Amino acid sequence: MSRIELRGLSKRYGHNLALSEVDLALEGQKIYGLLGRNGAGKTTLLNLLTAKTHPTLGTITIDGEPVWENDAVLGRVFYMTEANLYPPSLRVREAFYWTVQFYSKFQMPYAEDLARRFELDIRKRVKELSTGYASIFKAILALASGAPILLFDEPVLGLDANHREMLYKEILANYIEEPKTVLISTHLIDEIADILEEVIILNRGRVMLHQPVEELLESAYAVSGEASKVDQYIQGKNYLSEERLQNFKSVIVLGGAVDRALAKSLDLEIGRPELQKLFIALTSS
Amino acid sequence: MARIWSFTKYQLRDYRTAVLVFYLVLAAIVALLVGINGRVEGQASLSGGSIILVFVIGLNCFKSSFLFAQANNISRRVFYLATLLSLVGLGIIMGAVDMIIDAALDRLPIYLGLFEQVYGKAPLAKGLWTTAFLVFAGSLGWMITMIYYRSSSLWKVVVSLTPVLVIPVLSLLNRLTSGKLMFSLFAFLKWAFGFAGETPNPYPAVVTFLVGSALIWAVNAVLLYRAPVKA
Repeated sequence: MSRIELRGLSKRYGHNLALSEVDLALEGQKIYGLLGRNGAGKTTLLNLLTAKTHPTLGTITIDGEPVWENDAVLGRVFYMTEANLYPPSLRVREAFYWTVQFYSKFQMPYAEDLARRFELDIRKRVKELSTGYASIFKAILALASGAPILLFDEPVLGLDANHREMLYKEILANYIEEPKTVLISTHLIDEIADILEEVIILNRGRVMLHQPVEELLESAYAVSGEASKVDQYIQGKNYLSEERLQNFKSVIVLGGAVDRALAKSLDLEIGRPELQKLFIALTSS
Repeated sequence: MARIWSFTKYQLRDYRTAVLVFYLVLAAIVALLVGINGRVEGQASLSGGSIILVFVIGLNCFKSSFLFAQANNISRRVFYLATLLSLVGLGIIMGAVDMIIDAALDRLPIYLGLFEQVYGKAPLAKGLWTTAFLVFAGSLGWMITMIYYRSSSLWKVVVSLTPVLVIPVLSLLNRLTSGKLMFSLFAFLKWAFGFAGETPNPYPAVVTFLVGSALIWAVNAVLLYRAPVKA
């Protein structure tokens, strides 16, 4: 099932508290989005989940077993890091070969097929790959690893729009083919919103929100129209942010039922907020 | 266990190119030795080269491999054991190859191996001594590179200056002890490397190299504990 549980997790780097008392439970077999502004603690969280770094305080377990120095658990997780940890002189096909040694369920034909579809030359050395192709290389290793838990840190770094679209579709297809726990950290929220089931928002080292995406989007709505009328509509309501363009204004309102009669009388448009706008509103307020 | 073996294989594969190039160069030198045999005076040895090579391999066995281990979610414990096994394995393999090369070259009057120069002819002891020395050299290189990896910029300077400071500090301490320090140190080294008796004995040296390696492995275990990932 791959239940991931973090309890009272904190990580301090010198004077900087990167994560503070994080409590989080991921039930597994879902696609999670890990969102947060720069420095929110996303990469630190992923590094802690894979024992790349040791927590200052707190515990991390997967299916009840601690992660630290536990190869039985670590072998069930594949972490696509943003930084390149592969030897520069290693060829892509050699990396495939070695990944089989460490992940016994690694699917070589699938990896080769993905390399062909993404036009990744497996004869190339890691140092010869562009930023985009280095991301593709690491994403292929993750997708073909056969691990029941996949962690992606900025998986589309340097990818063009076509490859980004391909990768999102492949992550989804891979998940449908064999359900697993997928945790994706990204700044390109709108692009990935459609494949996420739950979202975790980190803000200044703390979990600000952990909710199903649908539930989150239903908990808010966007109201837009003439600025003075929008102001009239939001009076007494809990709103998160506002965008103004000359006399046009758009506001995200959190909670409460939509007052459709008032909106109609004021000639305002009510719509579903985009996840990215909601994220910006939540993390900047 | 499977992961330890797999990563040991990876480490050995990583050393392979350097070792093959080394023995190719060695083959060229052997050909030269055979060619000049009988035409020049003096004696030559090739044993020192493999010790230097293993030391350099030890210096290069950590950072890149550690990051690769982390990319594959391999624990520090598995990485440590695999690296240790790979260096011991390398010592055994290169020790055996060196023995074969030395045995082949032994027929040349111009050639005298390092071991024979120090201890005389003793094939079994030579095998043990060479392997133990190679394992020690590799382990020492591994420790040095890990010390640098774990050090801050300031500590790197301190560590780099330490060997330079050893001689003046020892001289000073020797003067303060009226020469007793150096006398005791040399007496210990003679004992540790088998020169305390009338004839040199290689077995104390084998034990010294193995004990030294074990101490280094203990230090390396401490250095690897919670080692951060520095990409």
